[in-house]
Formats: sequence, C-alpha cells, structure tokens
Amino acid sequence: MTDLSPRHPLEASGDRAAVRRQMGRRRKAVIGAFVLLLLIAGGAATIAGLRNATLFFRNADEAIAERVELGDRRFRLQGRVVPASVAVDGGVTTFEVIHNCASVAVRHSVDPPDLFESPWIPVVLEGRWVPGEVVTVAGRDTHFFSSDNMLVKHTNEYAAANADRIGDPDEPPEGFLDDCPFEVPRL
Amino acid sequence: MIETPEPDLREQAQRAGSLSMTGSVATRVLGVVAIAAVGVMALLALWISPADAVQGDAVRLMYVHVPSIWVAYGGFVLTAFASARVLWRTRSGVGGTYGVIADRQARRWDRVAGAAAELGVLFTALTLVTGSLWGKVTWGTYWQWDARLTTTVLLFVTYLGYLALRRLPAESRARARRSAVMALIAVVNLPIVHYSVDWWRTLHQEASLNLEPGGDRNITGEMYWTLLYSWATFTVVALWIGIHRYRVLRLEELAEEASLEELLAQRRDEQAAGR
Amino acid sequence: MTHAANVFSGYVLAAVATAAYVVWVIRRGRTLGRHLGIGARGPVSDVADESRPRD
Repeated sequence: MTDLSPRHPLEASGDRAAVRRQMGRRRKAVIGAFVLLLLIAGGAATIAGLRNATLFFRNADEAIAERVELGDRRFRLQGRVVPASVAVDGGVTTFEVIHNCASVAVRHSVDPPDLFESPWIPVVLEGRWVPGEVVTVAGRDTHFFSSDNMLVKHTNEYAAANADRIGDPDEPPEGFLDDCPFEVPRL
Repeated sequence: MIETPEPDLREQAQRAGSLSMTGSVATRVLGVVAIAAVGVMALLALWISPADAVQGDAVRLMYVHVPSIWVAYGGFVLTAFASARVLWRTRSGVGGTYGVIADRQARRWDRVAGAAAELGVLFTALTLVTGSLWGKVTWGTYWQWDARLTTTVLLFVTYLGYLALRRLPAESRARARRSAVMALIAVVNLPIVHYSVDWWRTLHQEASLNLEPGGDRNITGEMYWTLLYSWATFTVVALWIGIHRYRVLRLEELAEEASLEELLAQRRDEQAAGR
Repeated sequence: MTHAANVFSGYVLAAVATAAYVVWVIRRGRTLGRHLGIGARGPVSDVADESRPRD
C-alpha cells in the first residue's frame, strides 16, 4: 500500500480543497495520457488491420473482372479448388479455383497446407496475375494466377469423419455449380 | 470509514470447511462440479466425439476455442451491465463524500465488473491462443490480420487497458466511475467482433452455431452436443473462479481501508508526539 | 503429427492457464485474509510499512 496522504505544503495550511485540486490535476493528466495512448494504439490497430481486412480477398470472378486495374499487383484470391484440376510437377502445384462460375488457373510454388487435399476446399491465395495462355474448365484464358502463399479457408461445417457418406467425395457443394455454363470434369 | 455490513468472509469460509479464505458452501459445490465437468469434457472432446471429415482431429480445438470466447463475451457483457449499475448508483447527488463510494450496491457492482472483466480477458487470451494453434493446422498459418482476428485482439487489448485503469490509484468513487465509463465504451467492440465474419470478408469461418430458430445446423450430432456441453463446463468454471475473485476484491478493499486507518493512526500519534 | 500436437498443446495451455489463475486468486485471498485477520490495527501489510517514508 502507498502512503495515502502526500506531505504537501498546502496540506499544512489546512486547505483541503486546494490539496484535492492539486492531486486531481496530476491524476487527470496521467489518466488522460493513458486513455489517449490506448485510443491511438487501438485506432491504429483497427485501421491497419481493417484496411487489410475489409478487402481481405477477391473472389475468382472479381479478380478476373478487375484484371486490368490489378495489373501485376499482389492481391489475395479466393475460390474453391477443383479436385480434377490438381496436378503436382516438381515443387509447383497447378490447379483451378472457381467462384461464381469463374475459373482461375493457379500455379502455386510452395507446399500447400494439409487440408488442400480435401475436395472443393475454399482457399485464399496470395500472388499476382501473370500473362500466359491457359485452358480452364470455363474455357480459354489469357492469364494465370501465380501464387506463393496458400491459406485454407475452411468452412463452418462440421461432420463426423466416419459417417456414411452419400455420393462420391468429388461431388461439388450443393448448388455451387448450378448456374455455370460449363461442365466440370470429375476425377 | 463507511461501514459495509457484509457477511464475514472468514466465518463463511470456515463454516464451509473451505481451505481458501474466499470459499463458501456455494463455491465448494461449484468447484467440485466444475472439476468433474472438466474431466467429462476432456473425455467427450478428446475421445468420444468424432474427428471431422475435413479437419480430422484438429476440430477438437473447437471445444476449447468457441466456449472460451462465449464465456469471454458473457464476462464483458456482465462487466458492462455492472458498470451501468455503478454509474447509476454513484450519479451526482447520491452519497459520495470525499470521493468514497458510500453505496454498498455500487461497491458490489464495481467488484462484479472487475471480476467479470478479468475472466473475460483470461478467456479471450485462451481463445486467441487456441485459435492460433487451430489456424496453423487448418488454414496453414498461425496468424492473419483478417477482420475477426484483428477485432478480437483489439477486444483483448482494450480490456487489458480496462484492468490497468482499475488499478490506477484514485479515490474509490472516482476509480469506479472512471472504469465504468471505459467498460461501457469497450463493450461496443463486442458486436463488431461477433459480426465481423458477416460484415467483412474474413479468413475466419462464419459463426458455427446458427441460433436463429429453424436455422441450418452446421454441426452434426455428437459434435454439436460436445460443443454445448463444453460451453456449460466453461460457464461453471468461470462462475466458480468469478465468485472467488469477487470476494478477493472485497478483501482488497478491506486491506486498503485497514492500511488507511493505520496510516491515519500513525499520523495522529506523530502529531500527538509533536513530531 | 502436427494436428495431434497442436490439439494437445491447446488443451494443455488452456488447462494450465486456468489452473494458474485459480491458484493465484485463492492464494491472494488467503494472503489478504491472513493480513486482515491479525486484528484491525495490526500490521495490515508489510508493503505499507516499507513504502511509508520514515522521517
């Protein structure tokens, strides 16, 4: 515990109100500085974090639509991995991701996380557009996405591993490809 | 000093045969239930519940991660509620001579706010740590500054600040009112954290439990019940510790009052001796 | 396997942190209680005596 009553000249004078004023000012300054610091730190963290976060990723269809503006800038791309498109060649994994019936060809240069192997898993990739003729399930394309970081965006759906599964695991999520003008080959 | 005739903690503890100073019959029962529940939870979460079809065993982290943040949410809501009570009971014109909380209710609510916030901070920390470990095995990264993770860290830091503010020395009334104001500001972040996954694009998945009536259930049977059971367990554990913490806060107040008395007595003696 | 290791670490960390907090709260209660139990005018806290400037 601290000494509760500072020995202050004002105190001797018996002017309690003056003592209280004096103490109050310093305390208020300390608290004010503390709260201000906290607000600044909090604000900075929010802005830094959310600027990043509000556009955490672009979906495959948006990435294609914004291709010109994006140029060779780095961005995050989101889509579901097409199981039949996955191929590994040396250290490079190639596959396609689909979102809203738009398919992007991806060349990924780093080992993907374990969950990448689950069929139709949504992933977030970091990289940029690179010009190059490719053929996707949706047709020909002039660019592919060169990626060097993959995050698996697993869903909030949970099901027991050993439950009897109906249909094959290659089956796309319900309704995911319903409006697409193309067929997706199966494994 | 203002007398606060509250039950004698020591007497209460002795009556319950409790080893701790802050125990009572209620906390002993809660403590036994909490420890037993944790044991059952470990069995359910680590052994009986199935592995996930996609995530495998990593899904078991959900039973710690999700209940942790629910309990933290509860703690912060309680802090806000108690803080509103504190502000109401200490509003100008009500009691409060020389900056001391005169009102017994206000003191109690202030303790509730402090104990609940501390538990909230503890469980938010657990949420962040278990989430990070979970993220490593599912997303492939310990950390990403997406909206959910960023706002949760902000929540954690804000309430750390709240606890620090509570410790800044000041007259009891001013300290209680000041921290109550901060608690009411800090709680604004709570819905932002919760809905961040809906409002922004995040790496983090959306809420696992759809609480709307008739909503889709994203979690199958055993996993669902294990999650709910874990939440109940965490709640009992938090209540148990919270009651102890509340009483320790009371003891802290008593110690402060006693040392104040002592200092005053010393000062009086000095004066009598003519220094 | 990393999955099992991370799950295990998560549970152990959560259990240890919570248990440490429980122990801290109960011990703090006991310490304070002991101090207060010595009598209303006794040495309430050693810290208080030390921090008080002797003149």
